[in-house]
Amino acid sequence: MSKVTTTAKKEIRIRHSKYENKRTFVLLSMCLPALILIFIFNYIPMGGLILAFKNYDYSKGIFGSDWVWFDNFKFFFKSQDALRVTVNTIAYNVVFIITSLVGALIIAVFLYEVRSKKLLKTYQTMYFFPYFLSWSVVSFIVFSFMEYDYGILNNILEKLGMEPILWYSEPKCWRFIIPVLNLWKTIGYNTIVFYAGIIGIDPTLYEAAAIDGANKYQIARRIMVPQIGALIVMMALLKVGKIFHSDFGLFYIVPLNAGSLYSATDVIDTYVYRALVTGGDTGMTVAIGFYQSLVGLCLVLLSNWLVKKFSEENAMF
Amino acid sequence: MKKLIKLVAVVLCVVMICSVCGCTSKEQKTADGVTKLKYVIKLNSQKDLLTVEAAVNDYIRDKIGAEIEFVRVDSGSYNQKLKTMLASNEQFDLMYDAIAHGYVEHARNGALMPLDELIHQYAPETYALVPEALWEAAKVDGQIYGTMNYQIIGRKHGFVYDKALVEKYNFDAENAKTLEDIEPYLAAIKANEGPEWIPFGALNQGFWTTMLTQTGFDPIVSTTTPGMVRIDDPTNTVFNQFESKEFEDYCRTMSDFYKKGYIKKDAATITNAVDVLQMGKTGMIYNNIKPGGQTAASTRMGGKEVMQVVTADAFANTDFAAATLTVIGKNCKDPVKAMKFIELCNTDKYLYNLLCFGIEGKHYNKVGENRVELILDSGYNPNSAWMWGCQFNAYLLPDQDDNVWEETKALNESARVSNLMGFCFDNTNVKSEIAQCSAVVAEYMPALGTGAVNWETKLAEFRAKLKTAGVDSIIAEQSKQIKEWMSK
Amino acid sequence: MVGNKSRNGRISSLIVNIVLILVALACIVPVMLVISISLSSMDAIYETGYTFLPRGFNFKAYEYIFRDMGQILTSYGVSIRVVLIGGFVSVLFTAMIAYPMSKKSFRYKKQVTFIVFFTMLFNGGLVPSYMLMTNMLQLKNTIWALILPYLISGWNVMMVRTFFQGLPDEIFEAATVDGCGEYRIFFTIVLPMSKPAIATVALLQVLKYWNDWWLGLLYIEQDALVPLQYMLYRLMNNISEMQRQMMEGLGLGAETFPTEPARMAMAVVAAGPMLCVFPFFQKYFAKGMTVGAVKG
Repeated sequence: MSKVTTTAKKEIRIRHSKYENKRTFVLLSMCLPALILIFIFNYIPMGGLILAFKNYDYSKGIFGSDWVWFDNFKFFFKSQDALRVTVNTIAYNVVFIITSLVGALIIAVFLYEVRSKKLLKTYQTMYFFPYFLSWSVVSFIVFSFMEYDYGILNNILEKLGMEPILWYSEPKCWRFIIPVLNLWKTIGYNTIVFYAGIIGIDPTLYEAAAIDGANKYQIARRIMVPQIGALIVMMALLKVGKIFHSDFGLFYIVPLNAGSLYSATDVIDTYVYRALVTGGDTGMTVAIGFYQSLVGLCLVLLSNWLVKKFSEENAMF
Repeated sequence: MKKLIKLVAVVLCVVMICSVCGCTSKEQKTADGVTKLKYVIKLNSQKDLLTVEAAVNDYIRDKIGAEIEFVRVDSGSYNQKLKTMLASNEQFDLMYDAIAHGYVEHARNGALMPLDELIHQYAPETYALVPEALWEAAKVDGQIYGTMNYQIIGRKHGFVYDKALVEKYNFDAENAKTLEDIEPYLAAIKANEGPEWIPFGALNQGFWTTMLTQTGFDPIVSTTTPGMVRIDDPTNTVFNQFESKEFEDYCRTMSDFYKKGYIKKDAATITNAVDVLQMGKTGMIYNNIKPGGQTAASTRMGGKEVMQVVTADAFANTDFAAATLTVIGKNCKDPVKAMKFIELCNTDKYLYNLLCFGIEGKHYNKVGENRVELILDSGYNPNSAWMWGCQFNAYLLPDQDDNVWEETKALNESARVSNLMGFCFDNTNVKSEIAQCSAVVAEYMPALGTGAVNWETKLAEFRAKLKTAGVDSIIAEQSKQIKEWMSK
Repeated sequence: MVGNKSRNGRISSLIVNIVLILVALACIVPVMLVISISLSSMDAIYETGYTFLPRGFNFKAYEYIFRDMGQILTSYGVSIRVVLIGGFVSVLFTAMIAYPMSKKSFRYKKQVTFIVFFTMLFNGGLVPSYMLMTNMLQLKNTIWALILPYLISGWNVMMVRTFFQGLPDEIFEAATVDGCGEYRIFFTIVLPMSKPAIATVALLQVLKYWNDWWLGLLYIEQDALVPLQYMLYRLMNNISEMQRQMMEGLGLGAETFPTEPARMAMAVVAAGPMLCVFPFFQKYFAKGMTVGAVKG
């Protein structure tokens, strides 16, 4: 420990803290516009979350309605399908996270290898095509493949001399179809995020590695992936937060809400929708959403804590 | 972490305070005491809606001292939007509502204004138009919350055949009254027509819900919720229709039909049923049959000439009777004027037809005393005469018979009225059971309804799942409430 | 040795390209199917099944959509305005909040990050949001109702923040020593260095605004303010309701429904313009952007 006179130390600290205060103030001012918007459009409506614990009566308003505490949660937790839909939701999301991250990472690394700018542009544009299509259009595409009488798949089967298949009554196939569709639809989006990260890496790092005799695979594994590690972790963490949610379009509209497929396609969101679509109750809907978010929050905090243990800088906060 | 929690707590507090002071409403009154009434309607985009609105206002301004302002909501999103608007306490004066859109919940949630006194005072003619017994349908817990747009209420159902085929196979359609009776006809089509033909066109729920009247069942909450009474049972004993022998028979027959190929292979998951029907390769369907509906039925079947055979006589229950209502919002600016407007819609032929068809010469031409022809692509063709008021004031369209309204009125008067007319189930105590049962029914109904599965195992599974979902407490609650209601 | 290496390089580049082409095909073939159906006639589809080349070639579906030309143009106008205003403001504010969040020395880094992150998990639901927009802010039937709710997305903020964190610290130190204020550093150094990141967010926001019909459905009742996607959504979504009414025999006359080709044509009309905008953003995904900034 070095011995500096206390007064000098103090002065430096004061000067420093004054400067720091000003800097903090400036930085805060940069946050301000976004914070105000977030406050108005996200946090004010959050007051409505208390509806999860109330029996909402329109005429009494959000705050005047009677408390029912956990009654609104009952319908889901007492339901015989709660287990099935929860397992489905989590299983699909885990598969989604892995496939979409790995897939996009591979494609992004491959794209980096493409030297021709024209080709690069063409690839990227094409990868984004599926992202433009709404799920209802995707459902038509899937339908045109799997329709019983006129669908492309059955046409092919017929030409091969095989029996046509009732695709919308085969839950087994859908366990496979759904992750593929998800990957297909989001690949362009995720790729572009990773690609933007990769081209942001200082190229001198590759040059150095190449001189050391590293091959492409090694460069990708030892340099690219660690360099955008924070990005990968963040994307994964954010998806973990949504692990109890699922894309309604993918699970409801695309399988045409076929009852025979429920064992494979029923997730929390579709179950709740189906149960509450007739005479659905605002309180129950909010309650389920609240529960999904709460679990998501816990999981994110937990995984963030784990990440932090391994590498401090990759953690989200 | 502690700091974070504190921060979140503070933010949430501010949030709550902010949301409390959130209700403001604008007063819209023009200078000369004319009130602007907001009228929420279910209508797809019409280019000339504002022109019609202006014409309506010119007409009613002096008559009732009010103007209307349409708040147009698309038909496809009406349920969703209505729910949000009402739950958010948005101000409106008049609105189109229906049981199917949640009329009962709207009324129970205090979003609507009770109208008993207003009707008698300011709309006596509207009240007199509808038979007294039917007004029961518009009552929620003994109070009227909506005026009825009087129209076809007694519903007849029956088989609709492709006439050419009936003649070709010499089928005795007139006397075929049940699913079993039609089998020879279906078999003939299957055997002799091409593979693209669908002998029996099924929507993806099958026919169970449309055939309820024919089966003799009267639903209590909705056609898909467990709990029904028999139409001819004066004691109104509630039972679970899915446990009934009739349902079992239905499943067996449909499954049999499906196996024999009378029903489209993918019927249980079909989403473009109407498109398929319009290809004109369907032997027959089961549907509701109404006076003057021949042309519409034929269009539905792809322009083929059809033959309609009634198998379930006219029946009127709350669902049918309160299929279209006009309600007044609880924060209506001027309920008296709103009610006067309703009275005009129901009694003033000019106003009603203006709303229905637009402006003469611009949107339609008169081709007879009481008959009009629509002008194509004129910018106003709402095709929603059922929404505005008493339909018997409507001009006739080219394909309607002269006496179509007389026939409809006669039908309404001859219809058998449900024993439960006016009974309104209060679902508070069994909300979560109903939600769970709805989910189960939605899962099993398409497959069982179209016969696409091995019915015996599926039906057993279905019944067991309903039990676990709490169907018995729903039935018990319904019985209790009906008993109380009957003793009043 | 050298020859061996370059052969390896060629093989790996071949593999890379094959994989990329396969994925590209998987992405584009279904889209071609959509275009093909939009140009086919329904009868042909029912006769031969769905095919990748149009059968019974015709433009009827497009005629159906474009029969109300005025509304289409208005809607395009609304959508373009929303995309331009929304995209610009959103990118600016997102980057502005992401910058302080990316700085280790920022005192409230954790708090701000958590505030942003929290919004990604929890939302108050439909009813309170609707109350806020209509009762408190009175934004119903204004263009702002289509823009404001989507301006700041937690996802984008976190992403840009992560990008910013990857920028080399030396530049900031140098700039601070030179006496640059934070705003100056942000606008003259950080933004130009992060063009790929900014372009990514801009692209994602533009797509989000362009593809949105939900806000239109909730807050827009006047035809003059209906964005394109909502207009198409309406056309599609009203079909099923009209069909229901038809089966119930509610309507008086027969209506013309958009057929399946028409629905596909809508998808083409909706996505088309975005594909033209795409290359504009891609300029920033070219290589070496950051290199120049770091070295120059």
